[in-house]
Amino acid sequence: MTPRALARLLLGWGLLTLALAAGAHAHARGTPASGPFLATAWVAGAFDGRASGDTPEAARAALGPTFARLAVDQVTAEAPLPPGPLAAFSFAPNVDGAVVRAGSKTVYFTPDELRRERIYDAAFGAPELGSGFGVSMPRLLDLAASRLGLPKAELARTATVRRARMRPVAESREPAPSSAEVVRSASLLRARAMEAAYHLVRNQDAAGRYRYLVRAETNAELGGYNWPRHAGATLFLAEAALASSDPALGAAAARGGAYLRAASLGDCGGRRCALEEGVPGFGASALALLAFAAIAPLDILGGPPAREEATRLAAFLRSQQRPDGEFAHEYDLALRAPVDVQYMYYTGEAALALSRAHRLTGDPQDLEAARRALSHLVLHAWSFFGDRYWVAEEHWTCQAMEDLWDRAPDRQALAFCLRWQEVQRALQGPPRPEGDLAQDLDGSFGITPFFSPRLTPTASRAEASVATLNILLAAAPADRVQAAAIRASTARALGLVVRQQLLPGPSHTFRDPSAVSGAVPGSPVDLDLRIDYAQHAGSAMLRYATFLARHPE
Amino acid sequence: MASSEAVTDRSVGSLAFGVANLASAALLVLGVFRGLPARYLLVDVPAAVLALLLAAAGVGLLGGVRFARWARPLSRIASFAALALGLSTIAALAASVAFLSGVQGALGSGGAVLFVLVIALLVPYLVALPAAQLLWLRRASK
Repeated sequence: MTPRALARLLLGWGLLTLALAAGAHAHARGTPASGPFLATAWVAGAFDGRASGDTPEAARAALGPTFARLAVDQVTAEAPLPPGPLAAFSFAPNVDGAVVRAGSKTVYFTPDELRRERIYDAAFGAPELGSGFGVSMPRLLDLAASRLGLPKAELARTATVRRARMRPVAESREPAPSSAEVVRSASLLRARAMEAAYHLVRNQDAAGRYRYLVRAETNAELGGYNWPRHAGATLFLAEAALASSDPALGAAAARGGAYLRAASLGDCGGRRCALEEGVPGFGASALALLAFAAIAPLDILGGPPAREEATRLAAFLRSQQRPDGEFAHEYDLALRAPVDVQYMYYTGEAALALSRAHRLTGDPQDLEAARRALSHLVLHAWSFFGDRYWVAEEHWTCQAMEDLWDRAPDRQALAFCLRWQEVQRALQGPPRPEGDLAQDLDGSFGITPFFSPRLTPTASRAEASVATLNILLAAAPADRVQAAAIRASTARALGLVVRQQLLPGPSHTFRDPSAVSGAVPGSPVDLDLRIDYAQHAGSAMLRYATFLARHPE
Repeated sequence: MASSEAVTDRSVGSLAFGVANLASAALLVLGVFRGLPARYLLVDVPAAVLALLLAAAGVGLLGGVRFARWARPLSRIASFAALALGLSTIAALAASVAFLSGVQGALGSGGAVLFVLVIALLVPYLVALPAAQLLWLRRASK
């Protein structure tokens, strides 16, 4: 091949690629349509019928008289699906539904139906762990086969599936607060945080145990339990009780603490620790300490005071600390000795817990242990070439930095948290004008079209942001640029969390909307509700509400 | 003198492109069959065929006079195949980005950078190397 021929080939290829990309873009946007309007009847959170019409009123009328809850969607565009795995990536979750045509039969599926049937974020990855992505075409065909009454094999052979972009008709949905409202209103954030707390209260039994993981659509418990998360939820309830002076929240926090003490606390070589299925839990002990330290000022926990539990748990945490400030994260009951292994989060949790313990006990050993742990976290725990770009989860670290500041200020820790914030802001990307992204993603971290944003990491980053912001304003009040950047990032993150909080959310798809009201789901398409989702979201909202009250814009 | 230079040039070229072809074949196998999380015939079959062609061309070029009869024609075929696969893969990726931005609205900057990096990873092995090899083969055959 001559150089001239090669140059011609590459030029031709470049032009062809441009044309191909332009064609693919136009193909993906689909053919604009103005209708039909789809009226869907929902009874107890389940699909109960569908009618369509040229107007919303006509669609509703076509359903006939009904006591069902109605949702009306308008089809605004249709597009064919590309072949192979790309089809799974051809849907914007919560925005795109589907239309399946087989012979003379046609069936539409609205985004509500696809979300409820767990068809979004289910094709690849680990959907059961909250990290799935892509639309599951087999599940979509299963649903279509059952709705059309056709065998799946026949449907797969004869049907055409197209993406149908839909727009909920305004009057069929209750509006979420706007971003501007969210980021300026301390009272709104505070009210939202309280709703998250009341959700936890409603999902706690008389003994203090929570319904750990609940599917919003069915209100069914999905099983499992986790003591660190129990302690975290209890911590948040105690914080909400203190912030609101609501005795119902205080009582719920006390119940959570009592259950934690009765069912999890035990003995680790003569020291008090939290046990998970009989195994000492270092992180669980740190979270338990945080919960008891938060309950202590409420002074309503029956039995040994919360302060006493916090003191004993602090002794266990300290006994696990190495000379360099790091902790051994396991404890061997048989050998009665620490096991020097490390897991994510635990050292940050312990640093914060020991700092809080010191506020209660005044024991200088607690303060020194917390200070050394924080120093280790910011100087040595995550130290390698490239650590400025590849960062770990540091939301506990930065909260520990904030909590310790008045007694053991650590400027290196502040610098570490500011760097961490910088990376998080880069992951969050620039603000998106409304309509720029098909889905409601603005404010999430690490936007890609493949993964729906998880709301708990979004909220926990906001917790760390507020902690960093509080100390930045105290330590470097002249640094307005950085403060403004963190403030804007926090507001965007919390804006997303608030918009997705189930107040009421797509309540027509819920069996019992009141049972899940105030909850925060795993993601915009994963409406499973775990207790730590409400904890982190509520805590972040409460913290930012407090910040806004002190520093209004 | 000129003939000796040409022979040396050909020998160095054979060695360099032989090694490069073998390395590309290995990277292709590693990238597709270990790096990609799922099996997809549309990707797997062309990748396997190309890896075999590149490996055979690499062995041929390194084998010297014993394989001289078929080494260079096979290298030419492997280079055209690599170039075709590389250009069509990059075109497909570019179309995919355009498609996804049509579905999802503006892609996140992280997503766009990721695609650019994937494309940048393909260029040296599936565009620059086969193009350079085709030019070298033409020069060496004169």
